[in-house]
Parts: sequence; structure tokens; C-alpha cells
Amino acid sequence: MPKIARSVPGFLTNVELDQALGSPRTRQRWEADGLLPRGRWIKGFQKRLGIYPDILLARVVAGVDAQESEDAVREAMRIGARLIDSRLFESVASLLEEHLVEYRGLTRGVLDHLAEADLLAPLEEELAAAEESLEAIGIAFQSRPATVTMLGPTLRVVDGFGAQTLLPATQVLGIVGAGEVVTLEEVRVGARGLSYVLPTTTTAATDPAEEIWAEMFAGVDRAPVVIPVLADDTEPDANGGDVVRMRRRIRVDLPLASYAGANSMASRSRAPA
Amino acid sequence: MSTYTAAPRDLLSFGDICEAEFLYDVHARADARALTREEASAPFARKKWQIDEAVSYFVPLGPTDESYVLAHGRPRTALLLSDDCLIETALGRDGRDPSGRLLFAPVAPASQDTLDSLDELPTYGRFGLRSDEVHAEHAIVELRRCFMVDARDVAALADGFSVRSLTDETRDGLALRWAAYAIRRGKFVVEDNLEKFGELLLDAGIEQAAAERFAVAVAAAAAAAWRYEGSGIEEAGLAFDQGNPPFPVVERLEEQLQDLLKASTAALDEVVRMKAELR
Repeated sequence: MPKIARSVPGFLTNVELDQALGSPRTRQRWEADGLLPRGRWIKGFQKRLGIYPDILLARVVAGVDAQESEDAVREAMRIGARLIDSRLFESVASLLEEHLVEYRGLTRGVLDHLAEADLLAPLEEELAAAEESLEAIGIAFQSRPATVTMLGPTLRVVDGFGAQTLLPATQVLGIVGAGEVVTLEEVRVGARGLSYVLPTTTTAATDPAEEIWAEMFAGVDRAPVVIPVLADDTEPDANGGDVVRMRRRIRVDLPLASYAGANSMASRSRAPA
Repeated sequence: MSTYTAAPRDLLSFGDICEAEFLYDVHARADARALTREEASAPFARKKWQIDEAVSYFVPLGPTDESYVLAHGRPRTALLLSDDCLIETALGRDGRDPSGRLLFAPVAPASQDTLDSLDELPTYGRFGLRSDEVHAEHAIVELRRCFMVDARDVAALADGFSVRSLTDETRDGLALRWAAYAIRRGKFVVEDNLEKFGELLLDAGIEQAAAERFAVAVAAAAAAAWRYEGSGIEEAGLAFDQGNPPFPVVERLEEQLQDLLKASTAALDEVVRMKAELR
């Protein structure tokens, strides 16, 4: 059965992370304080772009002190730091460096370049493995495709099952447009959670609902039947097929009273109201 | 003559005019196909059609165990054609659960001209209902397009399904026309046959008055037989159902057999006279 085509980036740039934290200064301070690992930075064309694994959002959700979840959050930061230093992130950084002039954060253009270089799939795989290991210690990640149906101070997205979610624009990480297919992400650390929207490489022409509809019919494993539909052009008052009592030279018409009181279709015990 | 009673009968009855969203004069044509039912989930239905529940959809996929068929039909006001005894049983008035099906015939609006034409050239499959003080529109009962409805769904309806009832006299006429259409018996058929035979008599040189007198006498015997069966013998069965004593039934049978004998004797006289004239 066809699945909804999507590519979840699995990483953020400093633009989205700053937005989630409220300002670049907060990120810089948290990095200096060891709350967040420093990202991998790409420089060129008088621009700089930092890239981070999105599991670092666990710290954003938890705040500076996650209390009983602090150990789990520290583990997420440790894994995040390892990913930033990995060959995979190095490859991502090298690729993005070639196109840095185009970027204003995490855009579909970034993702398209990664997809073309076959780097998105390994990124997704690596991040999925990291998320799985973190789920075992109480940090949950959820991601599902959705369509942006309204932009403004509040963003409305509808997922493939028709569920509607309203989010403040501050929780839109990246640049998305109305009608665009995005991923609706959720990170939960203990009782605390954060929902946000990220762009994907999925085209806006793909409607998740239509995809599900297609899936439902794709599951029907039978040969199609061609039915020649017959037009029903019979007039409602046409006499076709009925026997007509013709007018003849003699007329026999006994009064109905001759047959009265013998209607076995009608119960005698039932008088008119 | 009134067509309708002032108000619908207390209990749903033969001849009642009914209205409901599911009344369709469904009939099969060569394009009828068995349908398989599948279901769109509630979340999908909400997204697609703003309906907060799972929605069934139907796919024509050849033979299936499910009882759904794609067929022709139109939404109709309909007249109940099942007899009162069957209605009692099907609707579970005897204490059992409603079951089985009830027979309906579509009721179509008709013009004065159409009803006049139907009077001039009546047919076996159509029965006219003239407007009266209860209902201001003429209509035609299309006996030739009858269809069935599950009694469970009729029983589940609240008041309002039956919108009008026919008077006893109109119901007698309806029963006779239904007998004509369904089993080719009764007044309408007897008279049609005797009118045809009258053509032969006239062609054989019999005078019109004699031919008509003959036909009327023979038809009257048939009417007496109809009354004997539909009243006398019917009451015999009713006496059993209602636990009535047998004596009044036997008295009634005797009375009706006397009527039948009288009518048969009169008819026999005419037949013997006609036989002599035709020799």
C-alpha cells in the first residue's frame, strides 16, 4: 500500500533552535553553560549556519533543570553532541556549505539538497535510532505528516486522519506556506511537551487524506467490474406493460356495493378513526 | 364519495398512504449488481465530509454474501398493499419481534385529465385516488410498480409514517383492483371478460339489451361468490382466531349461500335463455 511520501529532516539549524529558545542569546548562554552542545557550524559567503540534531529540543522542553528527568535530558545532549561530531553531520555540513548563500534556516531547499545527495535517509535513520534509545528513558518523540490549512498568528494543520491542531506561529520552526505538507512534531519529557511544525520535502500537491483514500482502495484485491448503466427513461405515468380494459359495445359495471363487506385484505375489527 | 378517512386509522392498515425517507420503488434491471460494503473510518470521514462517524461505502464487486444491490428506484410516497392480518404479524403486534416484509405501491400525483383518462380506459395496474375534503390532490396508485420494505424498519418508525387512510369503500375498490392485477380475479376482471364476450354475442346477432342483461346476471353471480368467500368463509376463520362460537357463523354462511343460490339461479336463467337464442 502506498505510504505518504515525506522526509523528516531530523535536524535543525540555529535559526529554528533560536526560535524555540526565544533568542540567539539564550542558545549561546545555554551552550556556554553546558546545557546544550555546540552545533556544527558552516561558514561562507558572509553567512553562518549551525546545524543541530532535533533531539536537542528535549532540553528546550525540559528547561535548565528537568528535575527527575534531568539524567535523561543529559543523555539526550550527550547523544546529540556525538551526532554533531559524527561523519554524517560532517557530510551534511560539507554539502550545505556549497549552497549556504541560499539558506535562511531550515527550508525545503536545504532538505532538497540533502535528499539529492542521499543524505536525508541516513540522517533519518540515525536520528530515529537516537530517538528510540531516548524513549526507553522517558523522552518521547512523535512525528506525523500534516497539511497547513491556515497561516497567521495561529497556524492550523490537519493530519492525515483529519485531526486538527492549532499552534502559535512561534512553534513553526522553519519556513512553511499555506497548503504545504509539513511534519507535526512533538517532544515530551516527562509531563512536559512541545509541539512544533517543521517543513518536509513532501510536495504540497500530496494530500494525506487522498493518500489514505487511495490506500483503502488499493487494499481491495479484486478485478474491476464494468457495468453498463441503463438509463431509466420510463415516464412515471406510462402505461407500458399494463393491461388496458378497452371500451366495448356493452358495459358491465356492477355497483361497488355488490362487492362490499367482503374485502379480505381489510380487517373488520379495524374501524376508521 | 370520500376517498380518505378524516384522520389516519389508529393502526397501520391496508391502503394507508405512507411517507418515509427510505421508501423507494426499487426494481432490478439488467445493470443490477451485488455490492460489497466497506467502511471509511470516522477520522477520515471527518476530514473528507465533516461527518463524525464511520461511513459505509459500497463497491460493486460481483457475487457477495452481503445483501446489498445497486438497482433502480425513485423516492416515493407509497400505499401499503399488505393485508391487515399480515401487517399485524409483520409488525409484531402479536407480541413477537417485527419480521418479514410489507408490500407497498408507489403513489404518484395525477391531474384531473389523467384520472378522467383512467376512468375512460382503466388498466389493471393503476388505481385512481380522487381528491376530497381531506386531501386536495388527485393521485394514482401504481400497483404495477410495487416494492417491499422490511417490517422492522416500519415498526421502528414513530407516528407520522401513515399520513392518510382510505375509506372502507375506497379500500374495497383498491382490493378489487389489486385482485385483478395480482391474480386476475374479481369484479374488474369478471366485467372485462363479460364485456369482451358481449362483443361475440352482438356479432352473433343478440340484441344489446339481452347481451347486457346476460352479462350483468353472470357478473352478479360472481359478486355473490366473492361476498360468500370474502365475508362468510372469511368470518369462519375469524371466529376461530377470536374464539367466537360457531353458530352465528353457520347462520351467516346459510344466509350468504342463499344469496349465492339466488344470484346463481338468476344467472343460470340468463345462460339458459342465451343458449336458446344462440341455437
